[in-house]
Amino acid sequence: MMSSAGADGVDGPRPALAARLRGVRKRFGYRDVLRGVDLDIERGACLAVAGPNGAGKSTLLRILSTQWTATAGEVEVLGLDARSEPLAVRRRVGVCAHESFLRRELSLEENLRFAGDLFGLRGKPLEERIGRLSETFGLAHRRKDRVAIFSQGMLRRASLARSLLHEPELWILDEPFSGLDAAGRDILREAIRAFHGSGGTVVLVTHEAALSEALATSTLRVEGGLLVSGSAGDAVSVGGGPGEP
Amino acid sequence: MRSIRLVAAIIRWDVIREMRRRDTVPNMILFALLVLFVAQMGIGPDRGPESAAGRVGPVFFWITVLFAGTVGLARAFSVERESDGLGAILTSPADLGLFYLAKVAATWAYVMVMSAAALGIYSVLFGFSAWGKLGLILGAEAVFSLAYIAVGVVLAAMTSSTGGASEVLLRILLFPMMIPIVWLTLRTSERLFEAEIAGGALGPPIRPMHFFAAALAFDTIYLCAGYLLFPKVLEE
Repeated sequence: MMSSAGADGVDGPRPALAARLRGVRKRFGYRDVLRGVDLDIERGACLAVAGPNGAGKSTLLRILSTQWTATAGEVEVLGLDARSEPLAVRRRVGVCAHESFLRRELSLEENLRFAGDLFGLRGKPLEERIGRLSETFGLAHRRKDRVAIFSQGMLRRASLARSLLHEPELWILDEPFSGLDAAGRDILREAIRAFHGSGGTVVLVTHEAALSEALATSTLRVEGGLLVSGSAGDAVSVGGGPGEP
Repeated sequence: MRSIRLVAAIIRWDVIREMRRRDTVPNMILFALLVLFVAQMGIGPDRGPESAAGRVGPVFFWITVLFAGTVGLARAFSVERESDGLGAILTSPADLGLFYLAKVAATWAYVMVMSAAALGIYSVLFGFSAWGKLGLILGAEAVFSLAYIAVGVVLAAMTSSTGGASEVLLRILLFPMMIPIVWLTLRTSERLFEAEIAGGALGPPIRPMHFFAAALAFDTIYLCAGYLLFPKVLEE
């Protein structure tokens, strides 16, 4: 259903790691949100990230998706340096964040076409993907409707569809289950399994332990800007120490 | 080719959104109408190059174009922030410099619609009759508007995250930077509007061709600076 081959067919050997972080810090004003994070995420992993509010989970995801740059440290995503090659990283990463990233005045189909334009997708392949993703997320009957009238759950589904349009290799999901009804949660669980099953790497922030257990091959806990624990699985290794005062 | 296609696509979706919202252009035109109407009431009914309308009318016209244009500028990014639209750009491989150029082009198109409407309103309220100069005046509006939009889009991106203060901040930052282009425009307006602005206190008028050369130089510098600075502003 969902390929992890990448939209642009990037050639060359695939790096073993989907992401590699070394000594990553993120500072806002006088506050360190991430304090020296070391993390390896292997390709094909499904990593669930947990932790209290304000721990730095979303910051970690934003740095992985190159929306934000780290104040210090090294970030490699899919073998690419996030600081010097952010556009190449974005081409291969799908992001579903708290915000929908959808324009309210446009219909779902138009939003997906707009996303297609941004990713350089056109013609029949784009039409096929729009049709397939609308179907997958149960929105085929609403694809002509403006997203301004969508419920919170439908916005979430639309945002999920948008994040997969360019067939990313790494799918980053920030609390994707929030706002979804039972049917939506089933659809998303199935979508994550299908994406992961096709070789894609998933990084998922969730507060629900049951979902982590059901979906994730590895888990990670973030507290106070540090990775405090990882699972025994070999798909993720963590490290990090206290930051400078 | 791919860059041109991307810029065209962003402009197209921006215009579609504006046509559905119908708020930026009507807001600007209403603002222009109000400013020119109030100014005309203060000036009185006399017309001609040496009348009050002739001396200060063009000044009011350019102030209106600048102030009404900043209404559109402020909307350019508040709309993006309101609708989560920026995230779509920041998680895509689209070059932010190209996004800047597309945003400038779309905003410029809206401002030109407003400027043309403002000229129509001005001609009715101030008895403008130099129709032989219409092409030159529209050209002057185009290069004048492009200058403040090229700078204003960068500033609007900077200030749009400051909430309610964003429009005030935008004007405080933008207007001082526009003094050279405003001065140039006023000095050539005596020729364009066939009027004696401020009793000749601005100095001898500038020939339109010299004005266009200088204004285009400003536009080019502002656009290049904006293209380079905009990605840094938007990244975080």
